[in-house]
Amino acid sequence: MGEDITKSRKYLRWIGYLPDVPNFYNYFTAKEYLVTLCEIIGVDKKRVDEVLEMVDLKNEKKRIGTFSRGMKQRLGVAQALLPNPKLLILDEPTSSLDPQGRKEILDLIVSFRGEKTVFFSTHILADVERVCDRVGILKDGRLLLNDTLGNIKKKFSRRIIRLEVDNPLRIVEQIRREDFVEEVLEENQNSLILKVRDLEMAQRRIPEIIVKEGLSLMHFEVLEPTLEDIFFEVIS
Amino acid sequence: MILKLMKKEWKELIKTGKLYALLFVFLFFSIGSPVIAKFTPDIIKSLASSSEMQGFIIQLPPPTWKDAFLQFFKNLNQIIFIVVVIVFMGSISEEKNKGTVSILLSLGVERKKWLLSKFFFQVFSTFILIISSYLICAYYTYFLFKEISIYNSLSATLLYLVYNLFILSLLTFSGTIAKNPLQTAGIFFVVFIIFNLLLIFPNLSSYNPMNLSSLENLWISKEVLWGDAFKNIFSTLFYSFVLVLVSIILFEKQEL
Repeated sequence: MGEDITKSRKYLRWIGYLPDVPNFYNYFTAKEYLVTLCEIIGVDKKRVDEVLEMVDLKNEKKRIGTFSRGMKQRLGVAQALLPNPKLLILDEPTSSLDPQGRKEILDLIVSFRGEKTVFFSTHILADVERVCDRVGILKDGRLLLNDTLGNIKKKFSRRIIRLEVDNPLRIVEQIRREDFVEEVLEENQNSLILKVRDLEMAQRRIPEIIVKEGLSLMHFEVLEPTLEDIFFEVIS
Repeated sequence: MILKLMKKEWKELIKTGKLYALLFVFLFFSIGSPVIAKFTPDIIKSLASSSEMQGFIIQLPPPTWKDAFLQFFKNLNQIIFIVVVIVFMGSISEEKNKGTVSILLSLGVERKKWLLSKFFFQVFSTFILIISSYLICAYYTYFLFKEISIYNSLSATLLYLVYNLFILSLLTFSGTIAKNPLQTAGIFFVVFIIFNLLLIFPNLSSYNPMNLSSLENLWISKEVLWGDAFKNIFSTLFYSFVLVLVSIILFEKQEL
């Protein structure tokens, strides 16, 4: 961001931060609280309505003390957005929220796509898969993995395909002879599970073989590892 | 930024109702002190005339403006002092404990400005309350006793302002090193009691802020001797400055 952090604190204007369990002055309403923050940090008070609109708290007139955890979390994001930062750091923004609260926060994070860099920590890997472009896995303070979600999936891909055809045994030998097939892991009356060397080739060739044999393709699935599988593989 | 932070403190005082507690005690004792002083002899006499105490002869000198102000300073040093400590003891440590300060710091508020805004606000608000109470007490004293020494009573009040500055800086220091309001009160009272115990050494009393309350009484009941108080005043101002300075240095390095 071009700021010398040892000489000035101006860089903080470019960073919004939401603590793990944010606490506010409970005697204020959301608007009073944000107006007070604007006065202190010297941001135009018009910004308050903008950020309250973003986090869907614009019509909330109750005191912060009566807010649910989800509402407090959204208010936490609102305060972080006040100076219109380029970078948002959210510390476990969805921890201990109910499904509704979690959805609200994740939707909010997704809405920043293309505008802001959002850096958030979480233990809920399903959230990561839903909203993140890049993923890092930390263990004991060491960054074990740092890549885009696509690359990670590719890197940890098990290249396993599950195939459902009306009579798979008719094509199993032919498939076994193909170069892109490493091994046939399972075969039965309805399905085949294959480990392949080249996923793209398999995705092209297998339907061709099925059509050629006059069979019907009922199901074709690339069995990707979940982020949870990758997480356990990395930390072990 | 400090003024805006002080404005937030002001809003907090109103919204939490603490302002009304402060206004009540200050107002109650500024009016109550001269009234109590005026009517205490009458109350005692009426008690003496009751059946169980018949036969006792109680002679009391007629009360004067001095009794009103002695009562006023007694209340300032006891009940009002306790209320001020209770109202402000959570000011710093509660924000650290709850994490409300972390949000301000993450938005670029400087630690020393935040701490100083708390201290300045407390000094400013209590100074206004003390001076207003003095004026009210002086008015009622003159109204009830028809005499008053403005010089003596005002001088004693100035001594109390210096003492109050020390109390608030000690409270700032306690709040900085404590993790919660209860710890703050604990640290505050331990230091406060140590200073009070040190009064048993007469050689040190000129450098002991607690001696200021004895001087207040002395200045009301006898005469104002600024020369005697200089060491006390300057040492108290020095301790206050050091306490606030140490608080800032510690807070700058503190992990929140």
